[in-house]
Amino acid sequence: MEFFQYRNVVIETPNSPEAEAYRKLELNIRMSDLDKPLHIIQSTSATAQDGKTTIAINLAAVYAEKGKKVIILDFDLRRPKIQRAFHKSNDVGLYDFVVNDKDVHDLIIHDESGIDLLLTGQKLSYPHIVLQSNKVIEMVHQLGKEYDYVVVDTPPVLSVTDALVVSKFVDAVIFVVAYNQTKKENARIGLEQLRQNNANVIGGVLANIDVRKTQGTYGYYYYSHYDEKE
Amino acid sequence: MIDIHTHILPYVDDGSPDLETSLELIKSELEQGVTEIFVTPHYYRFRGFMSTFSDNEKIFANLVDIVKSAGLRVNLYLGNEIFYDKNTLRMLKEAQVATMARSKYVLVEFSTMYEDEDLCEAINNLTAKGYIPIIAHPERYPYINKIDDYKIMRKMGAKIQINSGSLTGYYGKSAKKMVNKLIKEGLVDFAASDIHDFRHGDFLSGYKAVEKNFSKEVADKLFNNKDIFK
Repeated sequence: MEFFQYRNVVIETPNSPEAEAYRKLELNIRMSDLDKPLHIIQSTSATAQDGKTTIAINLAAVYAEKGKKVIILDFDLRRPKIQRAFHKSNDVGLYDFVVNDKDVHDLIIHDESGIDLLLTGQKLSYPHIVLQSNKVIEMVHQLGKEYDYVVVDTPPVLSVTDALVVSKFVDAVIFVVAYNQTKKENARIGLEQLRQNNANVIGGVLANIDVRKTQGTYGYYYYSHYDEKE
Repeated sequence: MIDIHTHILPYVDDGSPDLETSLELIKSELEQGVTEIFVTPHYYRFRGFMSTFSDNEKIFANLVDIVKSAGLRVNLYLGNEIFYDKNTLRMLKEAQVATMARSKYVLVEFSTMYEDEDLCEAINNLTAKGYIPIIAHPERYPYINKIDDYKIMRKMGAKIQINSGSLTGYYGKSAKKMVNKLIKEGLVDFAASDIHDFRHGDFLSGYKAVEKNFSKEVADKLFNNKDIFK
């Protein structure tokens, strides 16, 4: 049994250096391509519990804070966690869109934070097939038109193919690595797999850094572009 | 004392088969010092126990009348022991299954063989809808075998109900060892009989075991926990 507690510091402690790091992350994403703004952003990692969901929810909170219309899609169909982060019951979601042909708008939860959520709902068989269906891809693109930002949480790259499948129809991918936790080799292979699939990896987030120990040198999260040589 | 988990309602599950047996079971409860009894018939689709709340209410009203006529000084309350599955939230919403005497408390059970539902997800889903889940006899679930699991369940907002039979050794040595460990750690909220016609008479023995191993205060806290009425 695992206990998951997700902190949305942007909402809970908006003046903290941690929250500020997420605002920098948002700025960096915006600056990464000024000519072609990135609207549909995927958060993933090499391995489990590296912090991809925490990054997704905090990034979405920065967008909401800026008055942007934002939705989080929980596309981690195998181990969904967005419902835990927002304490919602996961009784309706993508399952109903895929299996019962429900209108996606009727499945979206409007959280009091200003962030909209599409949860997974009941367990779907063959997630990777569902995620590469035209039905799902078209739905994501439609939401991309209706929302200023769509943040997509996906499983880790090395666990299953789902993250690679999703990376093909998003604008950008953020690759999360946990300080002192993610194995260097796993991070390298995960990134390599994304690149081999032509994913637009716009940068990485180094999570789990204690801002007090680094004395603000890096901030809570250090964000940088991966250049081609890395 | 208060018994929050019984199968005294006749006809509907593997508990009492008829009104005569129900009266006998109630008398047995009274002899053991129980004055407040929650009748909590199974709702367990896969075992064919599917009597709905409205049907149970009719049988319950009849039982209350007969208990009064028999001059038994006991208060009865209607609930359910719901086997948690994907339909539970909907059925609670549609009042096809019952909370405990129309409160926020919901007595839920899980497989006693293998983990076919994610218990944490169930707790998250129920608490997100405003219910307080009471986990029925988790000491009987082989996959819940760590003290930390109990801490997680309680941290997520669930209450823990153990069976008095576990205290007397009815369910074996490991269940007995576990419940004593749990009581020592302060991780048990309710002790109940889970009385069926084939299994009864250990409520008072369980109480005495706790009184002997711990104290009267601890025994009262578990066997006479008035929080159920809050």
